[in-house]
Amino acid sequence: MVLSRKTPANAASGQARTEPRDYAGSFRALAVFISVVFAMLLLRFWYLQVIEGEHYRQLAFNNFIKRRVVQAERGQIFDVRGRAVATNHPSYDVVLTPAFFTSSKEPESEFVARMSHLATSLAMTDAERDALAERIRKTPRAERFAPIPVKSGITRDQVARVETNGLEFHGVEVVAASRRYYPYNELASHVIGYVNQINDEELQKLKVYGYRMGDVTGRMGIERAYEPMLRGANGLTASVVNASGVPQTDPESQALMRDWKDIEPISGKNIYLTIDMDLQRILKEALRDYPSGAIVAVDPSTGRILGMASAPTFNPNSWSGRLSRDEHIDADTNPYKPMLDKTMLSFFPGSIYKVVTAAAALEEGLMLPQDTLNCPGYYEYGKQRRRFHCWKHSGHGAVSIVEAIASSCDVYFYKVGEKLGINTLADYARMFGLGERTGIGINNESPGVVPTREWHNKRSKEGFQGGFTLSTAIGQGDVRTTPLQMAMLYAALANGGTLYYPQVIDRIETADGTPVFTYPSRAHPKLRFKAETLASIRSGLDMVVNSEIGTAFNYRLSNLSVAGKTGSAQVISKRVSSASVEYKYRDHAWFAAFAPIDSPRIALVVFLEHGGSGSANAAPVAMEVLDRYFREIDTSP
Amino acid sequence: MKLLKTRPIRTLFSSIDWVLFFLVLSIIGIGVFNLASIANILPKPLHNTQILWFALGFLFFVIPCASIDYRNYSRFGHVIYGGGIVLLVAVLLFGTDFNNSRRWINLGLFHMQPSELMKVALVIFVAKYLSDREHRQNNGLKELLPLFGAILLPMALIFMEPDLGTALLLALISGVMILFEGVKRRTLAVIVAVLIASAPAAWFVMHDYQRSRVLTFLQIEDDPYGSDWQVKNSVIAVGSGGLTGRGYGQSTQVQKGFVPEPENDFALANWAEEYGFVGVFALLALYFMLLMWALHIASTARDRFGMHLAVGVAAIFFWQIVVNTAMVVRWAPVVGITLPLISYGGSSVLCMMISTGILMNVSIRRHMLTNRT
Repeated sequence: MVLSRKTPANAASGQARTEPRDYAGSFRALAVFISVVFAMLLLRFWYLQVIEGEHYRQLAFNNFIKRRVVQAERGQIFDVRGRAVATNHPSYDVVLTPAFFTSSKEPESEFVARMSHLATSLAMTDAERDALAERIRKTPRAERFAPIPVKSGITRDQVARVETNGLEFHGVEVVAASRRYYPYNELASHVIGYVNQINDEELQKLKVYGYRMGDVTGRMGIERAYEPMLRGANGLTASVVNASGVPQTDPESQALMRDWKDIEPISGKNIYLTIDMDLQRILKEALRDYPSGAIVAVDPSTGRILGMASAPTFNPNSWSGRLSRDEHIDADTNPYKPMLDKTMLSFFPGSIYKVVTAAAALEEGLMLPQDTLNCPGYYEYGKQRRRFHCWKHSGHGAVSIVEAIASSCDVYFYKVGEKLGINTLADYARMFGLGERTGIGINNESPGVVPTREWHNKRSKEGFQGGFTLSTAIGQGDVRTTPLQMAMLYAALANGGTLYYPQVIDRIETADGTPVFTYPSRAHPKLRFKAETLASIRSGLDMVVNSEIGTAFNYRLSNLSVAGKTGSAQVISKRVSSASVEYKYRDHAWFAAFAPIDSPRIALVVFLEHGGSGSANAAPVAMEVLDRYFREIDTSP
Repeated sequence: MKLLKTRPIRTLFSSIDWVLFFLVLSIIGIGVFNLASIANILPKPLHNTQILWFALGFLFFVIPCASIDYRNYSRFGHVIYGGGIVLLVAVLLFGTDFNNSRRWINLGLFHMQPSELMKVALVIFVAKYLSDREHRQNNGLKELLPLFGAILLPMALIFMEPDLGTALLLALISGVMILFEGVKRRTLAVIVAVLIASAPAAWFVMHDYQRSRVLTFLQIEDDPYGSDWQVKNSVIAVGSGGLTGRGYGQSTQVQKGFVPEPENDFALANWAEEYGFVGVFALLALYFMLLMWALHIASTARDRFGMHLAVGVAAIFFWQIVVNTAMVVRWAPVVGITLPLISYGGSSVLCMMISTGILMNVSIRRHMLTNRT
């Protein structure tokens, strides 16, 4: 820079005043200052553009490309006849992005006016509107770009209203969503289950599996157990948006997308159940008079579950959406616990357990079929001669094992039980699959309890006492089984000794029908009984229904040969079946059956929690189911 | 000898500073080109309007400002200053409100921003004040206090609009001019001490949005969707330009609306995104040459008034370039200072055209006879 003066020699006036040439120092200082500042600015640009350029290029890309997750269609669930029992209905949801909907510059009144217009367009209640406004106001700044749900399942009219007001409702979007729908409502709801949205805590755990805020997950039954199968994989799509989130469709914006590839969503797998919804309806109707109970119906030749019902039931459609306050309170306070699947909870089995003791006595060679024991109406046990009563206080007299089963003689089983010992009884119970989970794979299955000497010693200070064996032999004491276990057990008796694993799923297919997996029936390897053993037990079960001494003789069907066993399990030390005592002290009523006797096509267990008597209460329910099953569903001769 | 008569006129034309002319024209060209690339996202294209502004500015301001001997500015320095103050008072009384501030006077055809004119008026006034004394001297408080009064009055009026950025700009510009003349060390120390001490007081007279901008700039307060969100997007725009930029009309940050006011305060963000570091370097180089050339004009000026005038105009350019650029790269809070000759806007163009005219005036008069005073 030239700081010296180089004007032509025309400054002839020759003044004494200070001239610009006297400012050389200031000029130099100013030039240096300007140079330094410019150098700093250039360095800043060098840093931003050259060193961090790639980083900012990526940020810019993320800015105008708005990725959108395409929800995968959840797999459907079908019953054995291919009828959808859990399916998806299209639904329109409204979401709102606070950052776009509100403006920090606008006066509060404009926001309020826009809110009420939106509320009117969507037919929201005042309370809903105020809650939403509050939520928008309170959204932390860091989350203002995350859409929040406004209303789900809106009508087509409302969709149109929102979309025609697109300019005013900035940041309000209608998203096509899918809503889980259960066409059969409360039928088989414990088996099928329901879905609802994951909460914040679950989101943290499930994030790694691709779950996002607002996703649903299975909560019970098949929906829960087969969640990974049903869920599918979400897709990803993207569009060019401007800073307000409005999609840009002009060719230039589209050109920005040339390197983008959508990821197609993969629908969840479809699941075909073994259960029949027609039978489910029969089961539900058969349980109509009892507040709490369960029925399990099995195909004895395969172990496939034909139907399983738990009462009381619930409607998965309301549990999959927003529960009303009343429904919530009911589920929490209902003494009959509608949300528990009672087919898989364990209870005292009572006399239907006697077949286990009978099998042990015959297999161990303790008794021959023709051997008899005397029943005076009680059994005096041990040195103290403690009396164990038969349910029939007058006694059965001399009974064989077949008659003992038919008349459910307690004394017979006290006697053989004492001789066999509690651990031998336990061994046979385990051969029948008791004391362990059947492995059906859904819900919280209880293993039940098969007490042994060691089990008792561990359980209480007093430890094992001899009388426990007697109670165990008649299915009391500490024995606990689930209705499902008993159904599998009676199916094994029906089919000639093969204990199957229960099976509720027939097959899994992809959404386009490609088979993924077909479930074969699987037999338990443990059960190996002599033919005579089974024949004696079966003839006893036959007599329960078809002999005058049988406990269910009064409820036999005229056109169907049914074999079965009644059970009235005490829940307190006194036997009380009458309705006069408090509900929770009444006996559990059981009836286990199969039919037809010669070639059984169905094995059935009816369990009525505190339902009273196995013969007077459970047997009629079972007979109604069997009668209707063979008249309405399995009508082959 | 016939030539002698026409000599002053011929000298006026022949003395035109073509270096200044072409430097300014290049920068204007970049500015118009920059506006053209974002024409499609603006409510209406602005580059042609901008050309019109420059043409009108050239015709009605550069030519007159360059033609009238600048010594007349000195003579009418008080009047020019007074006129500026009157306009600032008028804008507070009769101005039009935009975005919660009152900065414009509606002149029917366009809105005028008196604070832009005040920048030039103050430069003339300060230059006159400093050069009115026979000799250069290091000023003490006694000499400076009246001048401070003259500077603080327009600052206060502009601050009331409110326009904190332009008010501070006046202080920066006149500060350069005063330091250029010279200030006694002890006086300088006192001034610095007073400025530091009055910083908290400034805090209390500031508006909420101004405080918020300062806080977010200092990253004390988080405001991801207000001005800071805009500035962050501006930084992304600049950074995503890379070394050579994304090309004409390809600045997605600007084109998709993430950068606010790309025609005005953030014009540089668009330029930086489209042409990268190379483009920024070229533009800053042109600015740097312009400033150095302005200093050259000042150093060779015919008299001290001309010198101070040229230094003052250079200071206007310099501070606006620095403040605007720093804002775009998030080194300064958003204060609404335009980028000279690049940003769109009548008043801004007007101020820059007058400044250019004054610079041209001082430059031309270096080569002309002085015997006509």
